[in-house]
Amino acid sequence: MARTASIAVQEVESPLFRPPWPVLAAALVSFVTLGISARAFATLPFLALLMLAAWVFKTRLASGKWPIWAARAALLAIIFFSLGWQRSLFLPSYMFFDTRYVQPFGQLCAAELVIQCWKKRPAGGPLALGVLLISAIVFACGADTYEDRYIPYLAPAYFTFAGLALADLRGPRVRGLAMLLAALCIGGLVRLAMHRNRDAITMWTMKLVQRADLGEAIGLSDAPLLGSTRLAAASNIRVLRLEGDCAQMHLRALVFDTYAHGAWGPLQNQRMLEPVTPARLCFAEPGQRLRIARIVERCRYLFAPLHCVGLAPAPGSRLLWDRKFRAPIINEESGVAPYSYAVIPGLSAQHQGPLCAPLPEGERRECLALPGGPDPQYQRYPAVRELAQRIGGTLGTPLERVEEVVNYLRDHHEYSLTCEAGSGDPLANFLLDGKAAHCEYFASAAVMLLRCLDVPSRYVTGYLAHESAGPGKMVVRARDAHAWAESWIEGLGWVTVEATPPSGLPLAMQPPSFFVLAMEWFQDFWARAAAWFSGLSWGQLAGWGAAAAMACGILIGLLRKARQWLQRKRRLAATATVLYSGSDVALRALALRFEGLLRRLGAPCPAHRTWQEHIAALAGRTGSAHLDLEQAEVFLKQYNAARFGTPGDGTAAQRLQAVLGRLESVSPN
Amino acid sequence: MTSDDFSQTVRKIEDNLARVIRGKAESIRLLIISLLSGGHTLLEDAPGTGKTTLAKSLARSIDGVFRRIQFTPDLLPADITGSSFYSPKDGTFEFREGPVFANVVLADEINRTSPRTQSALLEVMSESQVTVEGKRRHLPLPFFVVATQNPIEFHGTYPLPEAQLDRFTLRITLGYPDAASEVDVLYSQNDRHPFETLASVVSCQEVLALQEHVKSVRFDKAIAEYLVRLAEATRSEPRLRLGISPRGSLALYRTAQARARTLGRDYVLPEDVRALAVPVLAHRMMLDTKAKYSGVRLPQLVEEILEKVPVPR
Repeated sequence: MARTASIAVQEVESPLFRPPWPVLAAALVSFVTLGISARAFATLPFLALLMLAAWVFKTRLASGKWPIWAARAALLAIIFFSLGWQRSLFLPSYMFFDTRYVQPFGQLCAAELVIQCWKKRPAGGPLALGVLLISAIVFACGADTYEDRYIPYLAPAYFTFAGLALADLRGPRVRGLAMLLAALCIGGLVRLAMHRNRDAITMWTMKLVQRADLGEAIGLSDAPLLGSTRLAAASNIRVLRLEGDCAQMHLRALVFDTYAHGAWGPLQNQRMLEPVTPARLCFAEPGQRLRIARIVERCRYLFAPLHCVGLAPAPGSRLLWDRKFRAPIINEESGVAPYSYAVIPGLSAQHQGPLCAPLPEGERRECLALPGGPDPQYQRYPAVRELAQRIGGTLGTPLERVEEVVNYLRDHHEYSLTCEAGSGDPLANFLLDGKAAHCEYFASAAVMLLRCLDVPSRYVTGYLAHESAGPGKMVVRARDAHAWAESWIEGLGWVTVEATPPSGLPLAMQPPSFFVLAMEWFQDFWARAAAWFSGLSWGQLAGWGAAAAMACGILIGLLRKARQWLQRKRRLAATATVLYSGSDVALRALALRFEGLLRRLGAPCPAHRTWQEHIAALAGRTGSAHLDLEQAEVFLKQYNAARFGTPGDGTAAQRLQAVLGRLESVSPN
Repeated sequence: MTSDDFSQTVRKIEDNLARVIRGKAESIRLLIISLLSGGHTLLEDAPGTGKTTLAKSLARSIDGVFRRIQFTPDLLPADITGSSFYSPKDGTFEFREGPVFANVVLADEINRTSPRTQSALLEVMSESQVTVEGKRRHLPLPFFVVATQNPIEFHGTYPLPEAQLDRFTLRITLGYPDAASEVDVLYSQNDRHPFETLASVVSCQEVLALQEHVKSVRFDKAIAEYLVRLAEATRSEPRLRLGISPRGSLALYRTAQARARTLGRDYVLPEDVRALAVPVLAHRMMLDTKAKYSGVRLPQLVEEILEKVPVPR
């Protein structure tokens, strides 16, 4: 920055420093971010108020110099890093940037920022830049948090203000600071993005390292175990895409009837899977269909609602199923995605379609079996039986018993993604100790209680489809994985029993964020484009290539034209007003008229040129404006004399009007 | 003095100089503008382009005292301003005037002397006076310094201090003549150098009258504001370490008046300011180190600033 006239530059104190408004706004956003993440609802608002007060009041504290505060910031940084380093002696290295240290450091920086605003500073120092840099550190500290719900909203605001501030400040130091700021922000964002997507990153890493089975990743297990947590709940991976007659529905995959030691069986490898023909899966003529596309790889199950009328797999599919449970239905060939099939929805909620096999006597006994015997783990089951009798022992019909059991579970147990299994049988502990647990416990408990009440029941896993993806479309994610019960009611057949409280159902989950949806849209778009491209023949490829080249050419041409048009418009806008500060109104009107004439002729004079120079340049150009250059020279000479010369008798304006009139008359409108 | 007298006198000087310096009408005009505005001129170009000849010709055109100082590395400040000598005759100290006591001073190859000696010119150029041994001595009026320097050479030269550069009203670059003019130069010096037959065409009193007459040229406030906006633009230009001083604004103000008068106008136009911006402003500014080594040149920078500041209508 050029210094003003004096050659011997002296250190002069600037009377007052007020950061420009974008800097102030960026600092306030960083305060809000840190306030939310550090839960510092008392100190940060107080600091923000102090900063605003510095903007309002004119008093300043004693002067300090730039290197002093830089050294102070360096000291603070050293303290911060030494804290992190000490911590890393005892814990793994990922604890280096522990939020417990980052947030106090951010608060120290926020205090420093306020001090900078209240200090008297020498003139010519990079004042606002310093404040902006500290606000960036405060924001980065605030963004390093597990409470990241607000960051997607605060980060764009911060970057906008920081960008505006940098554009506003400019100057030679700005580039260096901008790079520092960008590095800081990008580093913070990458860390945040990694934190948010840690599940996906872990999964992809595992996939690269050992090609792990994705069974768990999609939320379903071949051998469900009543564990203490349900981790799959967080995964956003899309598993199924539904199109057609969509409504909330239970899509079953696996059915189990044997319970032992907190696990359901039979295991996948103990089942007798038999081939099944598509004809056996379809009881009725295909009517209205629900199209399901399985879009996750390495998964071979066909998901379908219990009460569907029929299931139409893709032509040529070879299917297997467990005839006893009518589930799982497995596509024998492979689990390559996407795999599409159709489901014909049931006529009613009780329709007994191909997936509802009648219950023979042998299987009935299995569906009424309770864990017991000498195993000490099951010593609490008599109490479970008593509980079941208390709940529904006096009720007459099985349906009433089912209803009562569901109501009991919903009323006496709370939903929780984590559960303390305790010693002994986790299911008995859950039922008798009134614990909170997840859907697997509720489903298992419903099965056990109903079996105690002589209602044959079994345990089912699958997905609860609920998320709309547009009209007539749904999407099912791994986090929608669910467990429920199926009961056999005499005279009615198999019915779905949903015992999980509404707060624990997948549909109670927050919808995916905008960023997740946008990313999926891009994935789908890319997949469609890739599929379309791979289906093209060489001839079509050549044709499309030529068309694309032509389109690019046209687009570039159009962009050039648009740019020229914009430049021309800007030139016109720049000359739309005439810089006239004289007091003679008549002369001002004449100046505007002359400028308007030049504009109409397509030769507006740029604001930084004099008319004289412009006319001289036009005279040297052939076929330029339809301007009578001689008359224009006369006009300019007289105008300049009247405008800048000694004030005359007032007749100059009339003479000028006459000349301008002649000019306008010979020029086309 | 009437406007006609003014134009006639100026034309006489122009014609006189044009006899010696061929094809350089614009440079001659700028030199005369500098003289009329009461300032000083720095002639800068490669060796052999006629800098010294032009300065000498102007000096001879004015019927006044002309002194030439050949700036050498061993020159001392007292060699310029003058000093007191002991007179054994009457036992007193007698002040012997230095070469600056003249109407036209030619400071030839000014950058070959040390900044210490160059500093002797600071007071001389800005205040037209010399202070030696606590006594102030006024210089004869008109007082006009024409300095020449060769910007190509680095060995044995000292760059002029910013304070001194700021005291030169105009920096004129002569440049090589065109082919026709150069042929003309060859023939004109066939028998003898035209400088030898050059006679004075204007007296010191006439020059002073011309300088006074220039001050009567009308300078509209809108143009003054335009001039200041240009100066401010140089001060806020990030590529510059040093912008234009108020002395620079004043120089542009006065030279614009002189230009307007030489062109026969009694009022200044924005064109006058724009035409003189490069010779008056460029040498007063200092480039930022980064800009200097990235190929930015000051005249181009002034042109860029002229392209940014709107002109009053």
